[in-house]
Amino acid sequence: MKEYTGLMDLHLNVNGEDRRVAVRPGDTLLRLLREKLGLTGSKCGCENGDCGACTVLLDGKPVKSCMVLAAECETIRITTIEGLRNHPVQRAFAAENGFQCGFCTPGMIMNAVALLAAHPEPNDEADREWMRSNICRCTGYEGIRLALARARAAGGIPG
Amino acid sequence: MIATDVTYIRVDSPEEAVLAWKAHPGARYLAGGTEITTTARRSAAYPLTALIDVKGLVDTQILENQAGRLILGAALPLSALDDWPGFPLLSATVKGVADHTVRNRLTLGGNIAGMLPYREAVLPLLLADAAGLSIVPGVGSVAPSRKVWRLRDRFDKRLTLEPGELLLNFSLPEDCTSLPWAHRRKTRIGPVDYPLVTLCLVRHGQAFRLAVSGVHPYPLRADELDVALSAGAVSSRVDAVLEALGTPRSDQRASADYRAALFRLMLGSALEELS
Repeated sequence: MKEYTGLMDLHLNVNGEDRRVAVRPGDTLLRLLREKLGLTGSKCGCENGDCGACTVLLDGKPVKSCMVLAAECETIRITTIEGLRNHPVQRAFAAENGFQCGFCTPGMIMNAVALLAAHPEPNDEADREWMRSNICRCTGYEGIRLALARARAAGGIPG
Repeated sequence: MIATDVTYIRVDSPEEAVLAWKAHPGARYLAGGTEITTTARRSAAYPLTALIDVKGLVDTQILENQAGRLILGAALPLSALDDWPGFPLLSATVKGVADHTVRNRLTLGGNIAGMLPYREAVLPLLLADAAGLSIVPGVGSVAPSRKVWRLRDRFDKRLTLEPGELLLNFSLPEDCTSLPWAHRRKTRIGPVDYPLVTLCLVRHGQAFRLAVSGVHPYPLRADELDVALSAGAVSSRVDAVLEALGTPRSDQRASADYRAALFRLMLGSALEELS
């Protein structure tokens, strides 16, 4: 059994790098990423698990980082939008104008990366099911749908 | 972010978990954490002193068949059951809960024992007459002990647990997972929304079993509903179920009359499908 009070000395793997950081047990992963590690790509939207702007990958699975405590992530591989580095999905979003104001885009892209890794072949039902987790107020979603299709067509989506 | 200072405890066994609960008054068990993190952030009135992380426990993550019974860990994320072929009615039902990304964290036990009134994941388990396994901290120097109980006996509007009792898993007869089934769910604005009506219906021989959420103030499986479904034309069975159900839930999402009308259509189509 491990018990932490006050500040925890947390060892994390973020975007392939080992990071050490002091956090309160009540700090969410989103706050840690943005305020302790300076990884501000994950956006703080509703902070209630509704909008999806804070989506990151934990061991390849998309989760809303506002609903995860940093303390829970010690043995988990964390990937944020900063860890993608010109990923085919990012290029597809740019090519298809799958964004407007851009606030939701990091979360959209993280979810899309996981979606395409799980469903490399076209799958409208899965696309709708997965992408409903993210809300966009600008695009009307058409550019996002086209970006998914373009990224799939390009193939070779890394997980 | 949770504003108050909390203690975070990661345990290696269910016994450790309940002993930690005894040592930390006001502690809560943490698995998916979707309700705890959002509620604690919003409200200083949500008491929280310590979080005991139980999602690493084997008993809470189990998903397997043991001697003809299916065992479902309480800390399984709902997404693990989304496309799992072992219990199609459960898969169809949990797919309606929250969105896909949230279901990667939201757990089976969390949905059933949580504060929201819908608790849809419990419906297939009530229909399958599932049992629960939990562990309770002993009083004083008494050692923790495990308990097996019938879900229908413990589910009265919500899952009733003793102070400090930790839900480990559910089990149900495997043959219940292959009964003919129908699932219907209607929301007000789209798939990611709370249900106006959710119903699960299974056919067992010539008899039907029904469990509902949304239309009623709380999830319900009652013998009276099954009796009402037992004979007559589809429309008269639906009338009998509505009468047994009482006045449907009424809130800002939909009136009782609207829910009753929806329910009438949905149950009628489900009965025709299974007949």
